[in-house]
Amino acid sequence: MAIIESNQLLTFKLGSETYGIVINKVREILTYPVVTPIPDASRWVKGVINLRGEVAPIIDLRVRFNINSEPVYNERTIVIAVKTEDSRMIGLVVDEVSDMENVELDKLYPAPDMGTSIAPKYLRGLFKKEDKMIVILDIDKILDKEEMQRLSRHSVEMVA
Amino acid sequence: MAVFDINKYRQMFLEEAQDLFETIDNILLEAEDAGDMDNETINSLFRSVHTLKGNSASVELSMFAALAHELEFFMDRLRNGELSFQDSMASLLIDGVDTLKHILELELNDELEHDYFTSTKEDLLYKLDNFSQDIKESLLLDEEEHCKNEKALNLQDVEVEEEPAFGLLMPKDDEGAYGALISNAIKNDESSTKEDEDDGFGFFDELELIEEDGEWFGFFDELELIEDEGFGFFDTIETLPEKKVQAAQTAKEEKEVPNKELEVKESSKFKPESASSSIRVDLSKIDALMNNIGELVIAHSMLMQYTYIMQDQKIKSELSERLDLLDRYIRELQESVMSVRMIPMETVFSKFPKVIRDTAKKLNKKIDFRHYGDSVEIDKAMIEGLTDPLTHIVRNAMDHGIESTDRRRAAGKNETGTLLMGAQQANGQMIIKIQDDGGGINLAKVTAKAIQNGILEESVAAGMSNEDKAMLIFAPGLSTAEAVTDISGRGVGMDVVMSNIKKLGGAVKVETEEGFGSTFTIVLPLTLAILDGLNIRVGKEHYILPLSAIIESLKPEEGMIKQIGDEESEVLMLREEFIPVVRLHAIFNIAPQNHKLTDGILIVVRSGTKKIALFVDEFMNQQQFVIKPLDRNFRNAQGIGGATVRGDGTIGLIIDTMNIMDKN
Repeated sequence: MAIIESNQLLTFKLGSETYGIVINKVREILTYPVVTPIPDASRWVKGVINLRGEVAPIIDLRVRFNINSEPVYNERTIVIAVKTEDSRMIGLVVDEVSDMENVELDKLYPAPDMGTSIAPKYLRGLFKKEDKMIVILDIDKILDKEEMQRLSRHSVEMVA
Repeated sequence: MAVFDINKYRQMFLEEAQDLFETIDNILLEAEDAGDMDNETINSLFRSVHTLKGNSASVELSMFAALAHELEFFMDRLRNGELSFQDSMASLLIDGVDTLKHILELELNDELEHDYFTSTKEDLLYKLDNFSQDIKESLLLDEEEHCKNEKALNLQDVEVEEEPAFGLLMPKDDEGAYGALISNAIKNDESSTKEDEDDGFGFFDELELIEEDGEWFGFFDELELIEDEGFGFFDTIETLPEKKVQAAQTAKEEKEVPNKELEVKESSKFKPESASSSIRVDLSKIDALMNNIGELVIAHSMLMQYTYIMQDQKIKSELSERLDLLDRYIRELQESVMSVRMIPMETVFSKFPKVIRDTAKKLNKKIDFRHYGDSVEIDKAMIEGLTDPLTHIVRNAMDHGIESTDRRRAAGKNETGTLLMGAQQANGQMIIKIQDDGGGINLAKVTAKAIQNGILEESVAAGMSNEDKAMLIFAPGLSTAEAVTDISGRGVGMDVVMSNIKKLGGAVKVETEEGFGSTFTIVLPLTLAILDGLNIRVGKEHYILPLSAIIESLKPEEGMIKQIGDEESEVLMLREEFIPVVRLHAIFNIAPQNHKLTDGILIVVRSGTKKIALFVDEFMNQQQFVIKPLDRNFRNAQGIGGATVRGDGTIGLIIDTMNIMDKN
């Protein structure tokens, strides 16, 4: 990439662990809005919302990565709106937004390939902050257009 | 010139070149048919090729320009009577233009090798020269002229060097000087084209030449200005010749010109085209405008929604009145923008004579192409998706539909097959028909092939209507052609036609009668951007149904509902028809409010060429919606055609009646 990537992370919680995404992907943080469900969609696709005039899908990362299969949606549920490389707006449901962190992205621990519920290809790496671990997600991989199209249909998920 | 992105201009050139090629093709095809070409046609042919040449040189496509020059040169001789038109000439020129297109493609992709180019060019020159042989005398004459030009060039070279001083001394408003200098530029341009084909010529060279000489005035500045703007550039060039002629003429009066004969030729050569007041606009700009209007529509419906909850009746009714006015203006605005996007079907039809001629030649068949509904307008965005399917259908009709001349004669038909293509608007839909008078589809053969390929069960086939059997040709991988030709027969194509048309929100139907031909009917929505829709409720969810799809709605009575077998397959008996009932909540997996059909409402809608009755719980208000695509993130959910932002800011899903049945 020609542009120097920001070293700032937005960290948030999924279940009890802390995860992070690069801040320059984040467009907005909002409380859980009115979501229009899409028929026949995967369980982790909550539906679509109107995000600044765009039809943006809402994805529950907790369900997507089997962190919490019975998630609750209330006024404390947070949606992080991100913009992907190919300019799609997508909302990610998380448990809570924690903080901002400065990290050197080229000095991350590689993610172990040991059958984690989040496949290593979706991870950029791990980062140690005091005694906490921050898992840095590769948002462009997770939200890759083809990947989304392949996985987002309920019927497909059943077969897989 | 600091940063100069040639690709930007190449793109513009390419767009214009496509139009020009189309014009050239059609002129030549007409000439081939008529076996003659009048002066005016030759002139317009010449002008088109000339524009191609000049513009291509300015975007640094030198080899293309060189070849175009050869064609232009040939046409020039045709124009000034050195050569007379012969029948075979049209066909030669068509081939020449095809070569030109090929070279353009190669050069744009940087794949053009010099050797290949040289041989192609020589080949073309050889063919062109064959025509010239007969008229050797004029050739000699021509050479003489060449010599004259050379002299003229030498003379001008000297003059050009003197130009800076000369130009700077002259007061800027001196018309004479202006003219004289420009005329030099023209001569330079002209003679250099004649002398050195491989070197770039045309407007950019001129531009550079003059810019080097210092600060200038006149139309070159204008050129620069327009460059900055980034579009409309080529249109300006088209009007340039006009200025040149004026300039040249002024020059003649004011100053002694070295080669008078040449000068006269110049002014007759550049026949100015009538100035057009149209502009070329990037479609994305119109799309952006359309988007803005879409937002306006949404903002309006937000206000409307607000009035529903207002307590004060007086204010409410006054506000509603004004909002209605606003609604009218928005609709008018929307219609004007839509009309900008609409272009006549003629632009679609005009692509075909060439395709048909080439294919007919290859197949050795005689085919007469006719079209109607040229002035019917269609959304520009639609055309892009439509050209491919139409070409497929046309090629198929020519290859499999229309028989060979012998077989036609044996069947007692006219030797020449007819292909009729037409467009019309009806019921808020666009209807395009492609009709041939060929042998029709051999339904037995198609069905047999489908069974053989495992697409169809034999038992199902027995109960199929002819219409359904004909639709089998759209199944992927099905071809009954004995031989695979380079035109068709691989069995890919017709399924692409189907999927492309579906992508546009349309449907295809085919009617065929063995021995008498087939008719393909394509039904399309008029526009892709904004629709009038009806809000419906299914369980707790709300959906939007396009108004154009709705035929009627009713509250069914017990006696109207019939069942075929189990409870799953219900039909609505409406007057003389049996219409299948689709329970929307079953398809969308929603808990229904009403279980009995008689408690809810049935909406009869068009689904392609069929009718279906959708079972919903309630229908609500009618509204305008701006369609936003869903498939940027998901594969389109079946039965859902898109999304829209509602007045209250939430998202509404639009039901696609075309593919709702696929689900069952």
